[in-house]
Amino acid sequence: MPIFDQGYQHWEGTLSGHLWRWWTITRHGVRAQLRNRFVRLFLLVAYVPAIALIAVLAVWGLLEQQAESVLTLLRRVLPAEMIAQPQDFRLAVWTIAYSFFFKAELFISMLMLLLIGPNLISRDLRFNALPLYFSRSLRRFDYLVGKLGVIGWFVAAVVIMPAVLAYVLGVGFSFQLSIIEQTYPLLGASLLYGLIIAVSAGTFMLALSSLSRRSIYVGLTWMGFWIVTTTVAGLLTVIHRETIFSQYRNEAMAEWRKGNRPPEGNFQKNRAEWEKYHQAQFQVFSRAQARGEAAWAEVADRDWRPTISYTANLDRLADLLLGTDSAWVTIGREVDRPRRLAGPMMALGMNPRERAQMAALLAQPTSERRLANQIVAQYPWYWSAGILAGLLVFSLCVLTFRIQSLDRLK
Amino acid sequence: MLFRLENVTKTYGAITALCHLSVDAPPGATGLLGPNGAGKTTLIRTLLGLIRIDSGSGEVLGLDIRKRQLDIRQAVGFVPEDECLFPAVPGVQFVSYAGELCGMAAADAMQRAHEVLNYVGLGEARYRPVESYSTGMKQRLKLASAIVHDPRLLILDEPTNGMDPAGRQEILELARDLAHNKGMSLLFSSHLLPDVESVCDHVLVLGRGELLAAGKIHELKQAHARAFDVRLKVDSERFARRLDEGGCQTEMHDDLVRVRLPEGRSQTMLWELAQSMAVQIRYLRPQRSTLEEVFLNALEEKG
Repeated sequence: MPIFDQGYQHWEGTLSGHLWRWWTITRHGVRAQLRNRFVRLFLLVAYVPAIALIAVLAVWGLLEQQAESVLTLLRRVLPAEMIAQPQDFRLAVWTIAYSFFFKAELFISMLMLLLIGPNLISRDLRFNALPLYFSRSLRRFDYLVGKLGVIGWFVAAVVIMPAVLAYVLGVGFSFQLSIIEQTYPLLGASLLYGLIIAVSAGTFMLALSSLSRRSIYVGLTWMGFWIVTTTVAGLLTVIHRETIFSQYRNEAMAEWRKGNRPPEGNFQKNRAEWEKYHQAQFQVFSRAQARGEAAWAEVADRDWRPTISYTANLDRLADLLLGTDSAWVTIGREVDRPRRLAGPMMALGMNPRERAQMAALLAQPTSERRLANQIVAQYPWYWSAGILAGLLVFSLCVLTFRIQSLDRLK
Repeated sequence: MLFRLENVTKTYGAITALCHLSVDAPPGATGLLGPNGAGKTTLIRTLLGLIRIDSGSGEVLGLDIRKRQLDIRQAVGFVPEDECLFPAVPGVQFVSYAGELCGMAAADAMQRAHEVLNYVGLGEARYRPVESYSTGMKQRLKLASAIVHDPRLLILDEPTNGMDPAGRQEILELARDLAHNKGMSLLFSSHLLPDVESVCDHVLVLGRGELLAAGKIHELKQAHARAFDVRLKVDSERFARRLDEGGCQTEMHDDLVRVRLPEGRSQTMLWELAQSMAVQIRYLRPQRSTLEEVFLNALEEKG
């Protein structure tokens, strides 16, 4: 009689309920993806922006402690009021640091999706795995949530985890727990933003993945979608901006040229007159440029062009969640005021051309929103939210159509 | 009762896949026979709760097919007909993943995966990627993943399709062993009648979505009252000629005479003739219908 019968043995264990069945798919998917060494490598790369973020938060924490080593460095680059009262700018600096961190991590998470996403469903279609899933106690919903969970796990690994880690270390470097009271919305924003990326990009990637049995085509489509929408949006925005600016410049220059003829003779023979002519021309140009900038700021909140870019829409929501605009306004207020005060004194050491530039700059009205207008998208956030919601509905429709249950006639 | 359907109808547009089908299947191994388009796959999907039936009701292992589809699929193992794989995993992970999808804990599923892979004869190949398996190995792998959670009912949809004779024999032996020695109930759908006959005790014959015949195989293969196989010690051919002269229909198969007696006559006629010819009957057995005949008769009657 054999000691152990290798024949069929009955199993006496109990089976779990259906509620968490999707988690099995997620766990299996994550484990399968982590076998790819490029994915593992990329997870490490994703922590580079986090290290930069941690460095910024740590430096600011040390500045708040008035650490001499940090003061020596930052006195040269920051306005005196920020050096004297860094606590007043803590939230703004943290917010801006997080906004740059999210921009970098958004780029990284798009690349990460390119690595892990294309084969999530397409490979199941290629190997006809769906009957194996759906003949078990699993619904389509469980399958899709399980697959989305794989993307969610990796987005959390490259966006949420580094953000949380940076937050904890940032609080640690500030040496005071009261900072949490002021900055906890950033933590909530990080979690919510990670969720938005995972759901939006995840469902879209799954929808693409369900359209083909070849992962390579899915990857190319994803890259095309990402790069083309970003490029088109960038080009249209630049063209629109330049059209406004050139209109002001051309009108101003044409008007000025009517009443100002160029000096006689060439530059070498009549140098002084030509320099005077160029300075005057440059001042007109700078003033036109400033008017163009003001006009641009007026129409920026109605500019739909950036919404063509998928990542710009995600960025717009990140700015909303973090409150990036008000952070830049806070910083802009502190940057603009000393510039205005110090400008005339600084102009003393300048050559005539630089003085003209400075004069043109100072001629512009004071604006605490200048930085915010230049750096943060001004169009309504709900445009982006609407576009992302539309894309989500589209993705869900594709998934519903493509991931059929077995209730169909072959 | 293994499963029971009452007046079940399922249509796909203008096509009626199951038409007022009522069927009871007892525990044990049940064969599911029917030509293409008979509704076998639809019946299997109905039992698994994968499709929404138009009307009727039913139970599988006492679970309502309309309300407890997930519980049914949890209690049932299914080996689909098509080639289908969880990609990019070794065999043991394939089976363990299948177990986890049924609700087994990860550690239990892995341990059980090793056991069932040994059972189906894939113990040596358990760490190989499943894409590298042969057709027969893939079929056994699917069987292993279907029984990993020790289901009470195992449904095999054309399990020997496209397999070489040796692989087919292995699958049949496994199915037979599970049904007859391990106490697992089987629903075995196949076009190959010898396969069904070698594994199953009961059979359901479907045609155009209706039940054409059902019952125990040995009962369906009933003995004929007027057809016999006869073997004599010598002179079989002369014996056959004399039977023909007496109004019988005969066929020679080597030294075996297959004889159909005329209406109103019994086997006594054979004994009397042998006595009159002074030949010795060594073998006399009533002919039985083959499963193929049962199947064809059922189709003809419906025809």
